[in-house]
Amino acid sequence: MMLMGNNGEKMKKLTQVSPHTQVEIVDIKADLLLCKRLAELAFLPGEQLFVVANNPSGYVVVESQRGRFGFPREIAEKIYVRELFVQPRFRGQRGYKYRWRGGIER
Amino acid sequence: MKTSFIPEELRRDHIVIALVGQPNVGKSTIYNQLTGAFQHVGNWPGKTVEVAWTKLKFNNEKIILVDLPGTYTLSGFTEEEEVAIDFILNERPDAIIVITDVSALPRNLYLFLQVLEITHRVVLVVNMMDEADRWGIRIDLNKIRKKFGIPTVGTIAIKGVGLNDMLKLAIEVAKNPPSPRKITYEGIEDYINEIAHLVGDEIGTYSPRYVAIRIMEGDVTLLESLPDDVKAKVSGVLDRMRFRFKRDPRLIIASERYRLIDEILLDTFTRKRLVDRLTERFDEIFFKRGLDIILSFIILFATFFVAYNIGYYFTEIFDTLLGHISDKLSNMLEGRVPTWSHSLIIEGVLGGVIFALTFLPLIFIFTMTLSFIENLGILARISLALDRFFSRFDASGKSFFPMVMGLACNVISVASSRVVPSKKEKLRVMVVSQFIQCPPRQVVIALILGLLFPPIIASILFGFFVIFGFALALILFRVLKILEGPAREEVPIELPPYRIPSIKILSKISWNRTIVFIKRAGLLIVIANIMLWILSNVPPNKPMEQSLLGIIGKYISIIFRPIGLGWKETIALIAGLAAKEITLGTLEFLYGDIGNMVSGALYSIPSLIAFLTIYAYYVPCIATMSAIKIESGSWRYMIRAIMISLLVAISLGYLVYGILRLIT
Repeated sequence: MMLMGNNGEKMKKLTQVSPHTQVEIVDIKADLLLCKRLAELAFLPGEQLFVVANNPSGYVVVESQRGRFGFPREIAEKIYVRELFVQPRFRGQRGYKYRWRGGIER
Repeated sequence: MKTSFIPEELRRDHIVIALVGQPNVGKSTIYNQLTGAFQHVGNWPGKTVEVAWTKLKFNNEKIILVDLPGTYTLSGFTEEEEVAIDFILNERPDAIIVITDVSALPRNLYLFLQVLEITHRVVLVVNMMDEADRWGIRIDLNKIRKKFGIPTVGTIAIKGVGLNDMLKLAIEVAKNPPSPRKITYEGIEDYINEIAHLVGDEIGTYSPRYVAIRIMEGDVTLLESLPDDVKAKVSGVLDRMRFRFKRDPRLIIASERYRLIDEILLDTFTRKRLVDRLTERFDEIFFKRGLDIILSFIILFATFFVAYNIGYYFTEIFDTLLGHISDKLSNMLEGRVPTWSHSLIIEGVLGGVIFALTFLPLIFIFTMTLSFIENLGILARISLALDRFFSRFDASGKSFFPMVMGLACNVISVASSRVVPSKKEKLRVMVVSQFIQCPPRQVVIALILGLLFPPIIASILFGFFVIFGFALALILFRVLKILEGPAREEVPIELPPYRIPSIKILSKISWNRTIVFIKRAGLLIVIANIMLWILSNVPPNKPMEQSLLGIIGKYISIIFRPIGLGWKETIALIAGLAAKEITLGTLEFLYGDIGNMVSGALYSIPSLIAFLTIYAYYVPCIATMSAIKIESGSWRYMIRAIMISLLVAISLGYLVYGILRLIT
């Protein structure tokens, strides 16, 4: 199901995103304590994440310039993201070398 | 008056330097590279978290180096964070070394900024500089130093590179605190100043700016300590922030800190890769659907198997050696001291010491193995893979480690409960892991079942006893959640890059942990062993049933009478508290031969199975109880753990007896 953010942007739950997708956090709908914890680990609206793995029954693994983290499903359900692009899965595939992996893009 | 963690007399002529850092930055490696074998380790008052410190001499300066627990922030979210912030604010170290990992600098600097908000006596260490190439990282430490105005040094802790420079800078900072560039959070600076102005000197110990930031971070205690009129005005400022930014101030401040970090790293830090190739490739395989669980179990049980075999190999050697020493001493004392004092010294005192010491190789090997897979980066991944299953029981994936370790020894499972992140969950792990069947219990159960049933049925029942221990642990997690509320914390799990840890450093860390554990738990084990000796030998020269233990056993046996058990089994269960295998010896002693007990003439099958059930799940040995006291830092928790296991075991005994009576 596609959801709309406050500014009208399309957003998904992090659990709905396929692996190898570059996303941007739009919103975190959790209690303040968890929001604060996530914010302190740099999971804030606007932060870009790369979805490394998404195990439908278990967890979501993401990486960002701050490190690689695994989200138990109950947390990932509360993070709403906007898909930026899906990275080609295999080496040699068109567009593979252009995938975003550069950390802070400057 | 609150007493100082570091003794006052030492503070006078020592420079106190604290090591602070987020997890997985190599803080413990730095600490252990700088310190010798002797370390002071103590639980922070009122907490289960340990803080290690040691004295050292460097360039003719006397230093006390304190290793604070690894924390992501100083927000007081976890017990470790509370201890770190408490130490920095109340112990006021002369210098703080904030350790970061070059590959995680954009996150690690968050903690550095928080420390810098409290004190200027800071040295920034960028560790693992040798890995910069692996990540395609380019970093300009000089520019970072200028931007913060704080001494900055690069280190390779595992090789000891840069550690002397780090200490030199820390001593300099302790003597002449630097004047760093003022950290300003542009977007919210006006609000910070406004609150700082309102707070003024109301809270004398800390700077108004720090108090303002803490209040923005949601420190209710500080806000509540303000006079009512000031509190109302401060709350008004916070409301205005919420209105303007449409977000809670707690989130705004975190966002501002990261904005500042990115600004500082803009022209000082670049990298080609977010993750190194090794981690990328291994994780591709590990996180494949279905494969994660299989790999987790394979790695976990392979690790357990290796540690178990090596651990018990050395335990046997150690046990034989200590047995020889005990025999020699026994022979020396024979005839020179009265029989009862000979027995007290050899069986009570020395028996307790030897019992405590036999855990040494086992704890060392298991601590080292666990540290190895933790530092390798595997532990975090396994706990993530298993997390979903355990979340159903209000536990995290990491809880499975101590539980599995219980198959080797319940003391190990209690000692390894420190890998569990939440304090409440850690305490629960200590309680539930008592139900996991340790080898001595397995031996006794297998032997009695073997005497009662044909081999096939005995094997099935034995397997059931072991597996039911795990099931019971999980059920108890659920029950405790209903009774006491949830223990599991909702937190993301950091997946550090795969790194081959230094065996030398790991051995040192594990050895120190083992020694500290044995020293602290050993004393309790010896005392408990002496008490059990007194119970079974007073009055002297009387048979066991006339001893204090026998008398107590006869009284307690009232509880077991309805399920057909007598005083002999009760005494055997009490004696089993010293060490589980003693139950078997006691039964042999009381019956002349264990075969007489299980022959069917004295007891029915339901009674014997009920006895085995109680034996399998009742209170663990005194060593495990001592371990619970040491790890939880509380007698209350130890007693609670005992009561829970007694209640569960006796109830199960009755249940099993009742069911078996119905079907037989």
